[in-house]
Amino acid sequence: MMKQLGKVIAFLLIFILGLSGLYRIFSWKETSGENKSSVQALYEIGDKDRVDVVFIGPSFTYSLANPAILWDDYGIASFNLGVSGQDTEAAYTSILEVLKTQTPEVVMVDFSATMTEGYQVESNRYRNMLAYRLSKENYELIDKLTETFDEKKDFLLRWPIVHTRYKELQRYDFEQYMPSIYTLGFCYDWTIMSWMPDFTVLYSKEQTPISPINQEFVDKIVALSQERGFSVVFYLPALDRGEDTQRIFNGVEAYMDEIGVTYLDFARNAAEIGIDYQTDFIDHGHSNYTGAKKLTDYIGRFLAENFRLEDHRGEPDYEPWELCSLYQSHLLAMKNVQTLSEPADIAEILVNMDQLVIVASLEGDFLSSDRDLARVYDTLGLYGGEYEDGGTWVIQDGELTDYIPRDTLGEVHIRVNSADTVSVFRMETEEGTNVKCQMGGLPYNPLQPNASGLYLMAYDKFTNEVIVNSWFR
Amino acid sequence: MNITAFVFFVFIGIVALLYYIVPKKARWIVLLAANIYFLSQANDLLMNGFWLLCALVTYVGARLVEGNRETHPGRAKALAAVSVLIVIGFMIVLKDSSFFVGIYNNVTGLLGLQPAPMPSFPAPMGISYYSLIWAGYLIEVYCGTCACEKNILKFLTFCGYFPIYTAGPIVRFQDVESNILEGHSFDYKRFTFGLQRILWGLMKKLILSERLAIVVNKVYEDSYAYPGFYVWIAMILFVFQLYTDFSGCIDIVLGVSEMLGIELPENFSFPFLAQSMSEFWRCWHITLGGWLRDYILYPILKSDGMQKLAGRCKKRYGKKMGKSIPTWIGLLISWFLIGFWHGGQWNYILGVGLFCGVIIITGEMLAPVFARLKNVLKINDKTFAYRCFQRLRTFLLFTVALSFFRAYDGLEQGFLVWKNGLTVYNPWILTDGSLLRLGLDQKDINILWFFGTILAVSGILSYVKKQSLRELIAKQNLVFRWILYLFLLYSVIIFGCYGINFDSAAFIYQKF
Repeated sequence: MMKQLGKVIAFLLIFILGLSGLYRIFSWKETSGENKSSVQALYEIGDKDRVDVVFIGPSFTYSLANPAILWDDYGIASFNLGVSGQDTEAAYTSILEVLKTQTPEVVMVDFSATMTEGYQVESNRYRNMLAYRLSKENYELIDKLTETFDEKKDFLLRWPIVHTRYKELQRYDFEQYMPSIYTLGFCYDWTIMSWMPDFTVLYSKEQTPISPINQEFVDKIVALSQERGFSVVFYLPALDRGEDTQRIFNGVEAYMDEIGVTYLDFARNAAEIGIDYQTDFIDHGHSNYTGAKKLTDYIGRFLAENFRLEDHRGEPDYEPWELCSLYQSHLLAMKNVQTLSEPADIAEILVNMDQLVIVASLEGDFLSSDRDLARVYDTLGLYGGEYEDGGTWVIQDGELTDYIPRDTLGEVHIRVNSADTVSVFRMETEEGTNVKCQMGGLPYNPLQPNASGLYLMAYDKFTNEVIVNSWFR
Repeated sequence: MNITAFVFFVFIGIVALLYYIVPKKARWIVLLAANIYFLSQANDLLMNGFWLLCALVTYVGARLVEGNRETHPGRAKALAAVSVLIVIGFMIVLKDSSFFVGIYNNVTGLLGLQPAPMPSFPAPMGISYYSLIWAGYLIEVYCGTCACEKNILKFLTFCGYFPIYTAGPIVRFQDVESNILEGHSFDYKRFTFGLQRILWGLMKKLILSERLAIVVNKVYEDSYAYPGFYVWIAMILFVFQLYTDFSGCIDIVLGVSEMLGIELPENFSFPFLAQSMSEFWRCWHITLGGWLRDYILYPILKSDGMQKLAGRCKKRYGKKMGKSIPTWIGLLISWFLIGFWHGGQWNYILGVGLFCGVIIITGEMLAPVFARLKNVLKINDKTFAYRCFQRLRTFLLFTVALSFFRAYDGLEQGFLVWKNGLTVYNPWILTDGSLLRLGLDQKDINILWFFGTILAVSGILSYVKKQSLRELIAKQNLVFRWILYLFLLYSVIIFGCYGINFDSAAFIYQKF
């Protein structure tokens, strides 16, 4: 009997362990890199109580508040817990989730969700209910947002929903997608869409009295802030508003005025912020990087003027924010490089970046090129071979590691992360030898027998991006 | 309560725990409580009222029959007949009255009279199954082959035994009474075998049947858009869908019962290895065939009318035909009733009813012709190849039968599907990727092939070794066994069609 009981327990343990391992793979997560939910990042940094400012809200939030800028300019440790489609109920639960491991000084809450009830997109329901770990708060949220018993059960058990993901599993279901951790919830986007708000609507005074649901939303958060000792600041993104929506917002703002709660309306403060509707948005409400910079700068000034927040720059426990800043600098460098056409200027930027794999290859009649290829040679330090002789150079993390002379066959393989290898080949062609570069079997630079000039490829191991991949003839 | 739902397994877990905790003599009370709870979830108050009324009619009827059997046999016969009529009558009225109204309306239509409104009565879950079980019980009590249960609570425990409500099997009181009412000691092997059988049933239902249903439904709902080879594929797939659905349900029912130490009769025995239609129906829905054989066919054949007919046929056509003609008539009536039992619709009656009956009868009629043909053509019917031919032939005939069975919208739909199948020739759909339009992507198709192969191979292995798959696996080492069980468990969890993303259809046979 004891032997059988032992077997049953052992079997169940193995089953549960296996299931929890599988759940890590199948669980709902953002693998697209678009940061529609940063809950995973919250759990990653939640091992220590470090966050001073947290942003709560739907997608407008993760497009406008950039923790990297607040860190670089003020040393403020902030976190952006924007989740696509977040409603007022999920916003409150998000704050509770943050408070489990963090004691922020300021919680900034996007109240654009007051304009609608419920979820229009099913995947947003999943993001807002499945991303969080099972807990009393999560259970209460699921109870509020689902109607039938079957729905509640499925969201609580998770598996009835997530098991269908076997069809869509990707690489970042098996390993952590680090950029979503580095960005601390902010979503980088450089798209530009020009638009203009209807200013007569924006500045209208008409209001709809605050609804009981919205009033409860405001009251609950204010009560929580008093109970847990943090300051709450509500804010409204500069999104496009119709008359009905503006009336709702006006009603909410009137109530906040009545109870003495601080709020910021970015649309009405657009001039002070410096918002340019021609360049700062990706659509009628979500900011791009430029718009987010302005908004974050404004928020930073507001926080500096109204709160005593510590400058944590240089402190040992704040590595996530250092990485966040480093990630931004890498992204900005990549963007900068992409605007340049001269390889020597590109080389100046590459040489100042770390964690790069650079492949430089001088081919064919490169000596007669108009471009200043010699400066590239000097800047990158390609001294393993003579400039005039050409050939292929490989630099890893700032050090020259390989040189394959022209007319020599050879290959170099560089493991750039857990699954990818950049491969560089010098291969035989009718004209002699030439370079070919690929990763994972996919060519970055297919073999071109007559290619002449400088081939430059730079792979950023930190962002997992190829930031340069061009021939300069 | 759907028996593939998570709550059902929580319920079973609680029932099993309570069953083995309470003293042995009181374990039937746990089953009674489980029955009550299950019925309260399965039916509303009105339907449960009907159920209780039927059960009381059966209980009282059986007691009166048994009380009068020796002293007043005529009265006992009348009481048995009335009780059976009431029980079966309830089933027919609630389930099949539209069939009779339909015939009436056809007649009134011809005569130019006002048609009657089509009735639509709600029917309690499992009515088709428990009606036959209780009717069989009454007949057995009348025949004296079993004693009636005098304790009404114990009777309700038997007649309301909850696992069989979804899709049977159609049990006999005398075969399962002691099984259900006597408490069983906990037996580790039996308990785990039950769990394994449940898992196997879930694999069939959630991984295979639900996926196959997607394709079949798509074609049947619009055979104009999916004609020709789409139709043939859907017909063949429906056979497998029905098998995995029905046998999967039976696996779960028998597995649950096995966990509680209750042995129920099997309903399937390698049907796709049958070499003739009559053999097929001895391997498919075995308990229904058995019930109709014992309570319809044999009484018909033994009746005075049939005996007289047999005598007249023997005089006129010879001894052999004298025996065959009444048998064939009896078979036709039985097959009509098999079709009718599935639903008062002509697609069921013609599909799995009369079509199968006619095939069987024709097979018997033409047996001498086939024998002579085999002789002339020097065909050895003992070879593996010939047996494969017979199995394939049986399978295809059953596919034809089920093609009408699946026409849930009626016979017209069945004929339409056949018409769209026969009038379009499009074999290229097998290779040009068109099959991916039927609702399954390549991953689903791969899963179907993989688990379908596992099902087929395990069935053949079990047939050849003459042992259940569980027994074969039980002989292997622990590590191997656990790897298999965990693989199946994880497969059901990952690849099963359940949850809010799926329309978790009830079992097909649950609606009968």
